[in-house]
Amino acid sequence: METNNWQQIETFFHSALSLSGDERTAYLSQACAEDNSLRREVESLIAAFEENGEFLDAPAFDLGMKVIESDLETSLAGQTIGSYNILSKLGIGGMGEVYLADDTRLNRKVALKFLSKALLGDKWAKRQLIKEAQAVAMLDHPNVCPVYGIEEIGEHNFIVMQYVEGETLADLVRKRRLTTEQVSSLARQIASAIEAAHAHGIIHRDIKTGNIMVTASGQAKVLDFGLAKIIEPLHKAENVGENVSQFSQNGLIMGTVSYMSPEQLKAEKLDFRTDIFSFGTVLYELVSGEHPFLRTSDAETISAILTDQPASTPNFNNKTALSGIRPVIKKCLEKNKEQRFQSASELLLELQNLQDKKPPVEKKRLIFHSLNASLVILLLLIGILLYQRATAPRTLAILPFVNESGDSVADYISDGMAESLINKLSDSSELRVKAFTLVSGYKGDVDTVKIGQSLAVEAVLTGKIRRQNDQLRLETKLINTADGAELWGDDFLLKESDALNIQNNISENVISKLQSSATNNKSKQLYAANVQENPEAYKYYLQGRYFWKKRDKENIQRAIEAFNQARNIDPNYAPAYAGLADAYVVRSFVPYNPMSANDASQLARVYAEKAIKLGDNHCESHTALGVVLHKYEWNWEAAEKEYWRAIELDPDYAQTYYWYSNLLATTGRLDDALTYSLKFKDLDPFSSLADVNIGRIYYYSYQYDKAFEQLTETLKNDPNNLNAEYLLGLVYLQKGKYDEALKIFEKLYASDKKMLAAAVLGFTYGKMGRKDEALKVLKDLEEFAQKNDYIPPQERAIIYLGLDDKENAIFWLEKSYQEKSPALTAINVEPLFEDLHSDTRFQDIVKRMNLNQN
Amino acid sequence: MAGTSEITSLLIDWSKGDRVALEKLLPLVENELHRLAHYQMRRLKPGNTFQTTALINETYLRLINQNRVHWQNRAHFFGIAAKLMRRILLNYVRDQKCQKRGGDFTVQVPLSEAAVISAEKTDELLAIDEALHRLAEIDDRKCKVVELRFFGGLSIEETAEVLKISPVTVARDWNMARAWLAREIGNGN
Repeated sequence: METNNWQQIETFFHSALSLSGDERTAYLSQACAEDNSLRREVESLIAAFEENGEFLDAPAFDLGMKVIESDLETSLAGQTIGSYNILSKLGIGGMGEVYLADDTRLNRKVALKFLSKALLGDKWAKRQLIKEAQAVAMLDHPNVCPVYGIEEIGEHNFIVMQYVEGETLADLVRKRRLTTEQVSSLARQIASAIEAAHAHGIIHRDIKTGNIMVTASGQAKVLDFGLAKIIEPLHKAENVGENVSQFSQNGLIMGTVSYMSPEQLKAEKLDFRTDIFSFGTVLYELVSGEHPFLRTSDAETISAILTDQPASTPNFNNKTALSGIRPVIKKCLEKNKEQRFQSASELLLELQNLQDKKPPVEKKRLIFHSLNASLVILLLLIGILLYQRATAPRTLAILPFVNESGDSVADYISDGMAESLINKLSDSSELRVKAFTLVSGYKGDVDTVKIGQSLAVEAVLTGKIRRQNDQLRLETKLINTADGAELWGDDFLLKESDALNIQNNISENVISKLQSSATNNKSKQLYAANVQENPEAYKYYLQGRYFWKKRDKENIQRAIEAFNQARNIDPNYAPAYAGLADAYVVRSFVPYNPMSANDASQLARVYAEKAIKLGDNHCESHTALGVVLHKYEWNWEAAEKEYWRAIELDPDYAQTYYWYSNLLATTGRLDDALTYSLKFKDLDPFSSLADVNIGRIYYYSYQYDKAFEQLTETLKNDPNNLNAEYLLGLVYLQKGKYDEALKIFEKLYASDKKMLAAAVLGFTYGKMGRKDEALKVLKDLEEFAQKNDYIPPQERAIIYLGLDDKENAIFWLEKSYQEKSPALTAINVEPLFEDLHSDTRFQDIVKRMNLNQN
Repeated sequence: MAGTSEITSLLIDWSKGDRVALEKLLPLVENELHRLAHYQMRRLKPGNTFQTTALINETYLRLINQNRVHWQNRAHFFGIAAKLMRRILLNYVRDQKCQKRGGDFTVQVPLSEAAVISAEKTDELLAIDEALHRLAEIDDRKCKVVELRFFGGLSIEETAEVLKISPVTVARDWNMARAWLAREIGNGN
């Protein structure tokens, strides 16, 4: 009402103010006529104005400066601690102060959480801080603010965290009402973060709007695990109560009273369900803008939480759309924890169901229709093709799609799309598809006919992404190898969410043009499955695979984020979990290993199992589980079974052969290993990964000349291939050519992939009798391990071996064994360890690993 | 710390309506204000107060590359200082209040005597801030006038310059806003 009348009120206010006494009364009577509420409005403003003559006259600026000034006495802003330039205070929370800082070493903005001054030197508080860092480090979730590390510099103990730009949910709720979409999206994100924490055995214990940041794009990040408690063992969540008093040694109630659960206030045993209650309070606030229990004093608030039912009809902003959320809130806020949701997963599921029940938005409906349409076309096609059964399998090569748009964002579309097409088309049993991974130097201007001929395929599919009037366009062509004729070609407007549609379209056309018999049930199922696939989730999955292939630390991190996004959007999307498992597997390998084998394997295992559970017919799920069993659990038989299952499901998924050949080699079946590494190469002919793999197997087989030949050839095609170079160095070493080996290792050691070559460089120095230099590398390695990343123990063992120090070498190998480090799987075929073969302690390790003695 | 050119670009972006630029600017300006406050504190005789305009001017001169920006951006800068002051004050009184209540925060942070704001004043600031949010929804310009005058310490004329409206309009907005706020806060109590 105010907004409508606002101008009128203002005009009358100013006019009336310039008058006095009777004149004013007369004016108002005339101006407001019969409208009494308008008149009351104007009169109340005038009264307020005249009664508060000096109101706001004294600016608050001085007060502000005083605050800044006093802040200075305690603030760390402006100081430099270690490599952090502290910029400003972001807030006070939990037990400490959070500052914005510049990390000058990594050149990024970070948030630093310090113990507050009052708690400096308090051991209990310091332990809490470390616990918080550890708890968060276990989580890797898009809705949990990640911890980068923990530092102890001088008197300062602090956590280094990601700096999340945005505002707290508390501010957001205070400022404005949230839309239905915002509420349900935020609710799901927060619940998903809580679910992840609980899955890791972590109770947050301080879920509140002030601990949740929301970025400009609407992503929620849960902060402040300062009070978090880790429960072990993970699986007995329901039975394990926490008999820990909520009162710290200082006699203070920890956490925020108004968001506490009844059992928390009563200092009873706590379990995961306390977070569910706090979440309910947050959800109530999100929906209504009001706090369900907050009263004017703590005592009243506590009493409200313990006894009051929250107002049953909160001021819900959108009654129809959010009506389903009421029972959810009610169930979260049950005083008796037995009556609440019994797990965050259950809660999340309920929230997702709510989302699904909502009327679909226009955009979704459109996609749905067009998918239906393409399904109809597909079924027709299949019907036609039933009568066109081809006699022999057709062969097809798919070249990597070329991104000419100048937009690097389209890279993942171009790579990912080509790859998915390969997978999709490979599923047609009558069609043999040859794939290419990115060929170095391949710019799309090659002679497709020539490539097709050299690969002995009947047709080649090419794709180019171009920019046209601000839109991305994919041009595809299917070229007949025999005569270079274009069998089919089409342009697609690329909208990211359309990727699936476009692929289905291309697949159909390719199949129909090659007149392949696409009639088997498998492909029918495949397409049906795709129709149900969520295009958004799929988009993120593609993105993840793209980053994953780059195999460095930053890109692996990005891949993990993308896969997480995919599964957030569609929690039942198996490939997202397979991708996550693969990403964690790669994270523990040298030289992109910020994670220990132990941590990586646990996560990889969880995700691989989930992938299998959700998509048992998905070859990638089995490959992912196979790698975990193979690399981390050394369960050779079980791993082999998984690889075979994957090969059965999709004999053209190249990655399986890569890992399988690796397993065959490490278990001593070198001939088979060679066969499958050639198979990998056959499916992925221009991949240098395949070339290096073959070289490695020759090396393990003591066929150094062949290895040499293979690797020099690889390096001719791909001169920057560090892995090939590294392996070539090892071959030189075995051939006794120390100088050549040294040249390579020194060069690698000077590069940014330093740690790749540290161990073998130290080894070579040692073998050459240059002991000091070997020790220097060892020292570097140790320092590196302390400061930065995890270094697998066998790296040190290798240097000690070079120094002929078998005691230490065995010590570190044993440690490697204890950690189940994936690199140790090659222990029995790695020529570097030859000197140890006669050592019984070495033999014992080999035996315990169930590897046959050579 | 961010260079002059980055800050200048951010200021230009913000004056063109980029809200993200403002979010990036605030901590930078706050940092500079911290340093100046520290510096001035030593120059300031006891009992004296800060010279608002002079202080912000100095901050502006130190942070912004004069060659690149139109002088009117100085006015925008005052707008930033006002926003910043509102944020600093409100965060502070909220923290202080929470500590008193023993509610949100469990740790007593030692406060300097000078900056302890009376409970009455704290409540008033919180109420003003809360009412300002509502005022902004009804009439954004009036909210800005209050922000500049009250939190930024600007005169009627300076406010007019920042908002590119006439001083008479500022004065009218100011009176209406004060009346409205006073009434809203009065009702709330």
